[in-house]
Amino acid sequence: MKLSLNWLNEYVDLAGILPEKIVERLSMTTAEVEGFEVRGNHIKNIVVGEIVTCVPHPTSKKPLWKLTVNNGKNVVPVVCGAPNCRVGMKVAFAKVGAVIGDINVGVANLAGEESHGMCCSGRELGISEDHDGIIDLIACVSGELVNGTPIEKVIPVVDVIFEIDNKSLTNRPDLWGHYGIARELSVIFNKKLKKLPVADLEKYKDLPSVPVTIENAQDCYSFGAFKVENINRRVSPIWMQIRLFYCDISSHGFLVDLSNYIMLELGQPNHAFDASKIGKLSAGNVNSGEFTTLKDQVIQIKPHHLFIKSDGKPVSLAGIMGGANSLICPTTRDVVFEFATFNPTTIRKTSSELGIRSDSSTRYEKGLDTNLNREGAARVIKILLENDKSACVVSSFNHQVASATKGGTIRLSKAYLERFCGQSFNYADVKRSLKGLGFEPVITKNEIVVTTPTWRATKDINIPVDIIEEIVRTFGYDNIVPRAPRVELAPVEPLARLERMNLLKNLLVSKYALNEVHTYIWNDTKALKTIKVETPSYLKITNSVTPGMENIRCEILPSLLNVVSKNKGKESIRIFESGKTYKNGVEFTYVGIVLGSRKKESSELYTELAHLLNDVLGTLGYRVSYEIGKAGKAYMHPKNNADVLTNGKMSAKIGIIHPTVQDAIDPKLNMAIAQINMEFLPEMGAETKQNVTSKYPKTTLDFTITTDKIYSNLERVFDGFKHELNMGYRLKDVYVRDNDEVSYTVQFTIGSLDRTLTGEEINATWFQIVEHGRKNGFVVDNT
Amino acid sequence: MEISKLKKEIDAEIAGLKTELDCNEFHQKYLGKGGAITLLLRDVGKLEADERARVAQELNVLKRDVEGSLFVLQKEFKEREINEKLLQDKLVDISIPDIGREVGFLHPITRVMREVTEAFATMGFIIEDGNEIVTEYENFTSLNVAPNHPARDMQDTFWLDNGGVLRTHTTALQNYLYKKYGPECRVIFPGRCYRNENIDASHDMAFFQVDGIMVGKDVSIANLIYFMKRVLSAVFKKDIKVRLRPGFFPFTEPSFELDASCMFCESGCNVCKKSGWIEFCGCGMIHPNVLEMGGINPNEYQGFAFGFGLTRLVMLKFGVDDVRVFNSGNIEALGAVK
Repeated sequence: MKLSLNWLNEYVDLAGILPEKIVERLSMTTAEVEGFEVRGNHIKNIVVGEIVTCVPHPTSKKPLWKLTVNNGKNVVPVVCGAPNCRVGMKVAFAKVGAVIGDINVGVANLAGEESHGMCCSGRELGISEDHDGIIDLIACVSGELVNGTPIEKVIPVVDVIFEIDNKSLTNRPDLWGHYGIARELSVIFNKKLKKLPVADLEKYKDLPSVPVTIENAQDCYSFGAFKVENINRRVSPIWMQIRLFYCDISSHGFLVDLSNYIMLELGQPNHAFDASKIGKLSAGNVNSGEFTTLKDQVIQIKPHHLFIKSDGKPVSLAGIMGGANSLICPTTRDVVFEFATFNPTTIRKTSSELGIRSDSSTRYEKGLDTNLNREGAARVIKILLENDKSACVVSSFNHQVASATKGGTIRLSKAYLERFCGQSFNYADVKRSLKGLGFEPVITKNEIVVTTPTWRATKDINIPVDIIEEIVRTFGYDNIVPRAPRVELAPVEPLARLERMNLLKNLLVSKYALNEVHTYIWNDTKALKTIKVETPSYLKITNSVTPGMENIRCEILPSLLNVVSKNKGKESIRIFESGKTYKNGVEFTYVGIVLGSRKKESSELYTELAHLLNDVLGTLGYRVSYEIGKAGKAYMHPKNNADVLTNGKMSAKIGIIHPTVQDAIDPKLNMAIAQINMEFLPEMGAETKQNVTSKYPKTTLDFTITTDKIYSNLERVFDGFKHELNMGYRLKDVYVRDNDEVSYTVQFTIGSLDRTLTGEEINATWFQIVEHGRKNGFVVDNT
Repeated sequence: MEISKLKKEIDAEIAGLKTELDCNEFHQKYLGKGGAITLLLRDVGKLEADERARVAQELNVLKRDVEGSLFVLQKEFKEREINEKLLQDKLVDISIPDIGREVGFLHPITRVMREVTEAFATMGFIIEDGNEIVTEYENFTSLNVAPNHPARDMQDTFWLDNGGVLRTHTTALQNYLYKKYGPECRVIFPGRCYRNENIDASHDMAFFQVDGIMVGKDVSIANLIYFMKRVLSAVFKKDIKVRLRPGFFPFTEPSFELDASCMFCESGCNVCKKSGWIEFCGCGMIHPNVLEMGGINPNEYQGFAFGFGLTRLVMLKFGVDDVRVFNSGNIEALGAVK
C-alpha cells in the first residue's frame, strides 16, 4: 500500500522529520515500510502559462497548432500537437531552460516554425498517465491562476510516497487508510492527531431516506446509503488526482475518484451508484443467474455469493466489485453512495473462489469497523460539497446495523506486564501512547484498564497480551534490555533416536565415504515407472500441484534409485538418505543406502554393504544377522537379498539391484542397496555388559567346517552353543573350494573366570563343540 | 715386559679400527671371554704376591683405557653410520594427496542444522524432531489458527486423504512438546516442512525450518532477545546484534519479526541489501490460547517461541542462489556447497 506524505501531513504535522526517519520508526513500531520515493522533483522552470493565440500550423502534415503563450514575462511562439489547445486555456508551460526529467527544454524548430517552450501533459509532469492532451488547469485548479507562477505553487506535484508491505498489515484493518497511519505516526512522534473534517450528518436526518435492507445479517453487518443530486463536476480537483495517482489509482472522473479517495483515506471501501439506474437497495443472496462486473467479467451466481441488490437484482458483488449495470457514467448527476460492512470470511472466500480481488475486498477481508460507515459518509459529503457548489444532499444517511462493532474493556496488571516483558515502564508515557492510539486508559497503582476503540476491536485487540503489545511497541522494542533468564538447572537428556541417527550419519560419511542426499516424502511415480520400480503407497496427497507426486512413500529405496538415475554416467555412486515414510497409519524414519560402481561386481558391492551394516549397526550396539532371500522386494535380486536382523528383530533389507531395474537405470552400473527402518531397531536397555575378562589363561580352539550351506546357518548353530567355559567365537578364515563348498575356520575362546583350565576340561569342551555341530548337521574337524 | 708390548700392539690395532664390526672383533680379541687381557687378568692369581698387585693394577688400567677408547670409537662409528643412512634415505612427498580414498559428505542442511541445534543445546535446550505427517489440529488448531483463517484454505498446504496435512511449519510440533515436557521447558526442534507450490530458484515444495520454545514462570521478551543474540553469535562465530519489529502470527502475541545484523558484512553488502540487517526469523511470546491447548496455565506460565527457515540460512551461509539444489540429488552440486 502506498502512502502520500502530503496527505498524512493533513492529519499529523510531520514537518522537519526526514522520510528515512519515518520509514524507520514506522517499521519498528507498526508495519514494515519497504521504502519511499520522492515524486515531482524531476521538473524545473515550469510555470502557469496562457494560450493567447491558437491557429493550425500552415504547412505541417501532422495536426499541429501554432500558439503564442503568455509565460508571465512575455508572449512567446510555441508549436504544440495537443488536440485540446484553445485560446484562453491555462497550461503548465515549460519555458526555454526548463527541465522535465532527462529533457532540457530549449528553442526548437518544429515543421519549420520556432517553438520557445512547450505545454505539458499530465504524463510529462509525472502526475498522471494522460498524454492525450495538455493539462487544462482551469478545469482542475480552484484558485487563481497567475501567468508565470511556478507550477508547483499551483498544483501539489512534489510529494514523498511511502510503500508499506501489505502482508504486515494483515491483522490491522485500521491501517488500510492514511488516517489510521497518521494516528500511528502521531503517537510515534508525539504529535497531535488532527480531527478528520466531516459534514454533520445530523443536518440531513429529517430528509427522506434511501430504502436499504439487510437480508443476510450473517454476511452483512451494516449497510447504509444516502443520495446526492445535481452533481456537475466531472474532473477531480488536481490535488485529488495527484494523490490517487501517486498511490497507484488512476483518475476516472470526480465521482469514482471521490469514492477511491475516501477508501484510501479511511480504509472504508464504498460504492457510488448512478441513482437513475437503481431502486430499492438490499444486501443479500441471489439463487442463480449471471452477473457482469464493471470490468466486464461474467460471474455464474451461486447462492452463497453476497450481493447488493436493486429491486432484487444484483448491482454489486458485495465488498468486491460493482456491476456494469449501475456504473457511474459521464452523464451521471444523481448518485447513491453505499457504505457497508461485511463478514470478512465471506468476502475472502468469494473473492478467492471467483479470482476477483480489488482494493475493496482486500480491506473488507481484514474485518472492518461498522462505525466507519458513518464517518465515511460524512467525509464524502464534506469533500463533495466543497468541490461542487451545485451538488445537493437529498436524503438522510439510512444506516442499518445488524451487528455493531463494539470495543470491550481490558484489564492488565502492571506486575504481569513487567514480568512478561522483563522490563519496567514509565506509566505516564504508557498512558500517553494508549490514549494516542484511541484506547481510553485508566491507570491505577496496580492496573491498567483500557476501552478498545472500535477500529481495533474487530480483530486484533481482545485479551491483556494484546494491550501489552501496544505498550511495548510504542515503548520501542529496541529499548528492552536483553536479559538472561533465571531458571532451575535440570539435566538435559538427549533423545536416543537422534543420537543414534547422528552417529550413523557420521559413520556413513567419514568411514564409508557416502554422500547424503534429500528427496521428497512422496514417490515420483513417473520417474519410478521409467526405472521399472514398483512400490506401494498407503497415503495420498489430495491437492498436489504436480501430477504424479500424490503418493506418500512407504519406503526410501525407490527415491534413492531415482537419484541414481539422475546422476548418470558416474564411475561410482555412494549415497544415503534419512527420510520419512508412512505405512499403516504410522510415520517411520528410514535410512536408505545405495552403493553403485562400474568397476566392482555386484557381489562385491553386496558384500561391502553387508559388512557396512554389520559395522554401523554393530557400533549402535546391535548384533546383526541375515535371513537370506527373505527381503521380498521386486526391485531386488531374487536370490541375493536378505532381511537384516538386529538383535534378532527384522529392521532392514539388503540386496543386489534386480537386473531389470539396473538395465533401466544404467546397465553398466552394478548396485547393492539397503534400507533400515530406524523405528524397527530394538530399544537398547540401560544395563551394561559384565566385565568378562578373566585373569586366568584362556585357550583358543580352531574348528574347520566344510559345507555347501550359507554361513548364517552355521552361525546360528554356534550361537546356540551354551557352555559355561564358552567365551565366544569368531570367524577366522574362509576358503572357497572348487566344488562350491566352503571351508570356514571358526575360533572359539574358552576359559574360566576363577581358574586355569585343565587339559581334561579343554578336551571335554572340544568334544562338546564338535558334538554340537554334528547334532546340528555340520561336520566339524579340529585343525 | 709383556704388558707394555701388549699395550703397543693394542694401540696400533685401535688406530686401525674402521667400523663397528672391527670394534666388535677387537673387543672379542682382547676383552671377550678368551681375550688377551681377560686371560692375563685370570692368570694374575698365579703370580708371586709382590708382583700380583702391580700387574693387576697395570692390567686394570689397560683394560679401562681400552674400554674407554672403544666406547668413544663405537659411538663415533654409530653416528657415522646413521648419518650415512640418512643421506641415502629418500624424501617422502606427503603433499601428494590420497587418490584412492573416497570422501563422503553430509547434506549441507544437516551440517548447519547441527551447528544451530548444538548452539541451543549448550544453553540447555532439548533437541527434538517430529512427524512430517501431522493432523490439522497440530498444524493449525492447536496453534490458535482460527477455523476461518486464510492459512487453512491456503492452496499451498498439502492435504492428505487421511484428513491430515504435510506440516507447513515445524511449529506444528509445539502442542506435542507442551504435553510432553510440561510448563517449564526449553526445546529446539528442526525439521522438514512442505508447501504445495511451484518450484523456482527461491521456492521448493520441501524445505527445512527450525523452531524453538522456552516456557517458564517468568520468561520474558527480554529473555527472547538475549537468547537469539547469544545463539546467532555462536552460530556465525561473530557478535550478532538483533532487533525486533512488529509482526503477526496467530500463535504468538505479541509477534515479532527479528532482524539480525548482517553476518556477512560490516557496512552493507548484497545479502543484506546494503541495510546491515537481515530478516532472520519470526518470533513472539506464546499466545495464551496455545499454552492452554498444550495443557499449560497461561496465567501462571509464559514463554517465547521462534522459528526460522533453515534452508534459507544455509543458502545465506554458503551463498547458494538456487534452492532447488538441496532436493535435486545432484551429488556434484551438493558436494560443491561448502
